[in-house]
Amino acid sequence: MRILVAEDDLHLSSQIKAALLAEGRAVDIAHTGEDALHLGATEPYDLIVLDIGLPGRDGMSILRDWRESKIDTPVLILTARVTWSDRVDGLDAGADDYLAKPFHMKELSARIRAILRRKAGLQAPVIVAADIEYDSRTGSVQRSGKTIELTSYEASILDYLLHNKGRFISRTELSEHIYEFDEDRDSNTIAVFIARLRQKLGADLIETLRGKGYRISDVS
Amino acid sequence: MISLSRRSAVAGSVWAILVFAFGTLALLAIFDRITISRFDDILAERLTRLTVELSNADAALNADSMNFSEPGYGRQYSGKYWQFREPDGQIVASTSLFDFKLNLPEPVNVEPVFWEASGPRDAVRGLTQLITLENGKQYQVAVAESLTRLSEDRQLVSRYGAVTFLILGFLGVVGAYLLTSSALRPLRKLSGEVQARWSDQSKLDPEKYPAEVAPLVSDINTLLERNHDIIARARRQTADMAHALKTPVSALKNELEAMSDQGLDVSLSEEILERIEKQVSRALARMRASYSADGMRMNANVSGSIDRLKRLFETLPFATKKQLIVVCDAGLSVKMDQQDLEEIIGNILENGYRWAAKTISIKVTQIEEFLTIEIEDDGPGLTLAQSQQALLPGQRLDMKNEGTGLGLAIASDLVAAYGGTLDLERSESLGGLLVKVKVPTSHRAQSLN
Repeated sequence: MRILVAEDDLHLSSQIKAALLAEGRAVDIAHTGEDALHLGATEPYDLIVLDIGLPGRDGMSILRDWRESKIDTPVLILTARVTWSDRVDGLDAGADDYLAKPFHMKELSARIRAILRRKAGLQAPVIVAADIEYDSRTGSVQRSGKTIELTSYEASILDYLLHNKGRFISRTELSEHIYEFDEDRDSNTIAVFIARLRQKLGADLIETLRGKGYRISDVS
Repeated sequence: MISLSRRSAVAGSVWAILVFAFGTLALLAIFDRITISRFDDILAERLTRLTVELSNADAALNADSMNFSEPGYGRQYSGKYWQFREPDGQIVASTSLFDFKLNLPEPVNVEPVFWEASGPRDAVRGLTQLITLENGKQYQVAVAESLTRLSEDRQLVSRYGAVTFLILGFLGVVGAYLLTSSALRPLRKLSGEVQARWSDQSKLDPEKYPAEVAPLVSDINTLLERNHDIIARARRQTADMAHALKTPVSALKNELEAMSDQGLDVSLSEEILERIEKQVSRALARMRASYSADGMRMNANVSGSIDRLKRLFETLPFATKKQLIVVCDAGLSVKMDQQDLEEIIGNILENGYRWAAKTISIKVTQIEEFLTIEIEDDGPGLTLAQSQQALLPGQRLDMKNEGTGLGLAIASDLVAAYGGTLDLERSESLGGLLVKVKVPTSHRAQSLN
């Protein structure tokens, strides 16, 4: 899952990035309103953490611009403005959740997971597909009760496929959602990761349809 | 201070009374002067005729022959009289005097003298003169007439004059009132438009006002704009300060969390940071409250705010599976900034949602010039000691429940800024806490409260 963090404070943005990277997310940072507006409008993020008090462009107006442009990426507003009116205005502008500063990083992670699950139509944090159990809170995977070790990219691909159950995902799309903006994106490596996942989780879990991509269907 | 309309009515009435009194007196004085002058002219003419008749008369003078064919002189007490005194002191008088003799003043010279005295029935005014005929005899001749007719005419003039001046006075008062109302109409319009402008922030158009008021309208535009700017700047600064303070607090908090995850004891640092966080939140809320009085000019729709907050709470995890019952008329509004109203209701509702077992209710009523908002829940409620503690900043009554512990204190500060009261009681209907907010809906009620 690829997340844009629009936060002007260098310390806080690096803390958020570190926390999200540790959870296997691909994270881009925008320190100004203009950058946030541009990245949010041009890159296919799975979620955007948006600070309201960005320099250059107010976060609320950025959100309105995105929604007017039919960009429906889930947005979690992060702000020091904690009035109830601000919260309602935020939700009315199209935000999916609202987190007031100062906050605990664990709460931010939990809110992000909840939004991603909601978007995927999933109820529980533990996602089950065939004999695989994937805990989205910890990134841990078990196959028939046995813990399976996955690399960061393998976990990212599994996470993305599980959150987009039943839909064929192309290599390009997968690479857009597991790599950060400034990383080299070689879609051929995706095939390598998929092969490794099949080795570890069973050959039948991930379907391949030539020209369309990969799919996990049996998800609950 | 007395209103301009009342001033004009009072001043118009006083002016009308003065005009009435002075006009009546002046009219009577002029009337007196004219009628007396004419009266005296008639007396002078009659005296001349009497003198001529006397000089033409033969030696045997008598009243009948001297009545000059004037019917008034021949009828008893008719009001028209003449009288003269012969050189030997004998008095000859008109038939109209009958048995009465006029009490004539002694003329000191040959110039005619006007006089007033009692007549046979009423007061008379007369003219007397000492004349010397060609035969060398001296007579004191006099003519007189009753003043009754003159008094009656005078009364008639007074009566008509008074009625005329009363009507004029009344018309004067009405005219003054209408004139003032007409002159004040642009100011009333200005007052209404200024009131409306607090909410919609549109500009007043000086060209729609008379030339005398237009500069005032331009000045008000400038003042309103400046006031809005000051408030907006203050709010922006508060928001910036919140951002500037809370963002590093967030970073620090996360550093401590990471250190704690590594097994380090950071509990003291976390406790201090939490205290800082609360002080910052309370200080920012107080800053907001300090310039909230400006909101008394604004109109906040109460049911609209409740609907917005209800929609928000339905998305919050701690509020799911709990029911909010709303009793509020759609048209209810309060002279308050919308954000402040939502901050008050939002903080109390959050407290209610966190503690309620299942149900929270909000009931809004307007009684005279006060708006009462009652928010109650079916939670455990508060004891008297806890109620007093709850309104102090950062007092968490139970650490098991999430929240900053600032909500009720912030709501209380904001309510106080609008001259209202916030009381914590036990809910009779739901059994939990009842938070009763009473806010004035006008400046007058604010001063009463």
